[in-house]
Amino acid sequence: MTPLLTAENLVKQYPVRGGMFAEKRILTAVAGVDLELYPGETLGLAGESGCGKSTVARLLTGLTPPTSGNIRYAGRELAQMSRAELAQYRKEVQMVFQDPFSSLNPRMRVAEILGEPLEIHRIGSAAERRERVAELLRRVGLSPEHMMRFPHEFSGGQRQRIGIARALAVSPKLIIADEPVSALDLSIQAQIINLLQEVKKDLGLSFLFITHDLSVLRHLSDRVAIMYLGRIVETGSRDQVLSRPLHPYTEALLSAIPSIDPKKRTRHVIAKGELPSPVAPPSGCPFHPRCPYARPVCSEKRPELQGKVPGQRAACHFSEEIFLSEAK
Amino acid sequence: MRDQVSSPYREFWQRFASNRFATAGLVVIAVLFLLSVAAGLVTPYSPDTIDAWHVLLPPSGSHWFGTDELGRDVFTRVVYGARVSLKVGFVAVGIAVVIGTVIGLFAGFYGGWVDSVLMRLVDIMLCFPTFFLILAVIAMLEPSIWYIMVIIGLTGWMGVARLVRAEVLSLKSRDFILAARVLGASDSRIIFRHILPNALSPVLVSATLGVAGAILTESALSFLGIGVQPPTPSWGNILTSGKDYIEFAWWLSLFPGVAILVTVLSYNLVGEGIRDALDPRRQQG
Repeated sequence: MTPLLTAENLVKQYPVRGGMFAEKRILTAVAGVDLELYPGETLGLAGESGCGKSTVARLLTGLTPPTSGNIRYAGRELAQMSRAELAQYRKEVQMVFQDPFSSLNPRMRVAEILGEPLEIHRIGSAAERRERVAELLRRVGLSPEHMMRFPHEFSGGQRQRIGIARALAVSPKLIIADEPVSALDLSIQAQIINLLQEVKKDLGLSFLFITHDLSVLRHLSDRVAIMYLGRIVETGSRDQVLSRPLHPYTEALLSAIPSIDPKKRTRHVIAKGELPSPVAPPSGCPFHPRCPYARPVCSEKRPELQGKVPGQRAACHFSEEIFLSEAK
Repeated sequence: MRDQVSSPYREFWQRFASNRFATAGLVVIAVLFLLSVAAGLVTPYSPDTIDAWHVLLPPSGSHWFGTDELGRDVFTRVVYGARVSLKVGFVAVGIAVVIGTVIGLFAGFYGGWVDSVLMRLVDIMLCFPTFFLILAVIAMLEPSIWYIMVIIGLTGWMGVARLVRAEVLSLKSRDFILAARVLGASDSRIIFRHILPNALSPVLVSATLGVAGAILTESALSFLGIGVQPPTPSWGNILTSGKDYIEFAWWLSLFPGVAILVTVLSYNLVGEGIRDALDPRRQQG
């Protein structure tokens, strides 16, 4: 199967201005990311805040151009698309935002918010659009009566439903969701996750689901990619990555999820310290200053993302030794 | 169904109405408007008919504000003068708001060198002492109410431009703007449907306060004799003629002066009321 969306060696750097006499420094938000997303698949992209996940989302939606590397959608390179192709891309790739309070225009009624995508892409007559808006509201569990209301009259969860409806309006093929539930209450999170799952199943969409919460990925991803300091450090199927991680960072993230069953509580692996600054990344393996297994070579040589077992890749010199030899 | 739904405008109006000073200001402005529109109906006199038998009469039942040195009814002239003041206020501020909004939108939205050029233009304009600039320009042209309105407008847009620019900068990074971009919305759609409606509230406040400023400027120019020319009445030029008789005909100076004071105060109260109503957190202040 050919992937729907491919990212090759994506890099995004931002110049950071210090004081007037400070030398100009470069912040590398994304340091060479490869991603593949297949039709109908949900890829979960996880990592701590500040690791570059959201930048990846902005690059893939074309909100910011990458410093280098390229993005290919349905065989065409994003940077070389014609106007018409780009319009098609804008229609087929939609985004759901994190903060439902800032993602809806406070001066527009729901009918206008949901009708706008149809207007932009010149879909249907005014009456048909209205019908479509009503259908979208039902689709996300709201009522067509809500059409004439303003965003501030809704709760966070309802607003997020409106945000999802807006993304669905133009019948996209791929939805990039940037932390769509992390601003919501726990009970509402479950509802929104269920809604996303339903939508995905009914409409056969591909999803790129960005989150810092691995337990969310357990519910709705097919494959998982773990990001650390602008790089992907591990990818594989959900079950592989979440039950038998091959990178110490993934292990640390997993052990941070609290478990109710005391038998299931594995040894607590803690990533020491904080995420290093992306302005001055550590030498060698970017995770070595925090890694409990770090050895001298880790600070000298950066491990590449390599296949360790079929379907699972990790960027660690000692994956096999740490995770595959001893019976864990 | 539409009017049952609460809207931001309705809530704004409720907060505004709960402010007694602002409401009083709005009522005063509304009354002035009605008076100036219906000037011919509220007074039996004409503003420039000379009556040599009734010069400099003190206020009485037939001449509420007295008469001036040419026997004209001061109340009538003040009412007709309101037309000038209101017109100047609105047209001048309208010009300033349009220019300021357009420049602020472009500077904030496009950033980069567009922003630098436009904002340096603002800095340059702010270097001129506005009032003397107006004096100099009017001195070269023949004094007329239209020139005054245009010049006040052309020299008063910088504050609006800065306000709008700041507003656009903060809106530009909001998620709903990004959402519109992801949808493939054009720049003009983003500017006019998403940014402008959200950037206008501080402009409304500054425009209302600006009207008060423009009325003051016009009165001052007319007082100096280079604004509205007699016999057309304006509060400023009624004051000018009043100053010669101030020792024994106080009503000539008092009433137009009070009219200016009340009008400017009302606009300021309304402007502050709008500001508080737009941002409830400021209400205690």
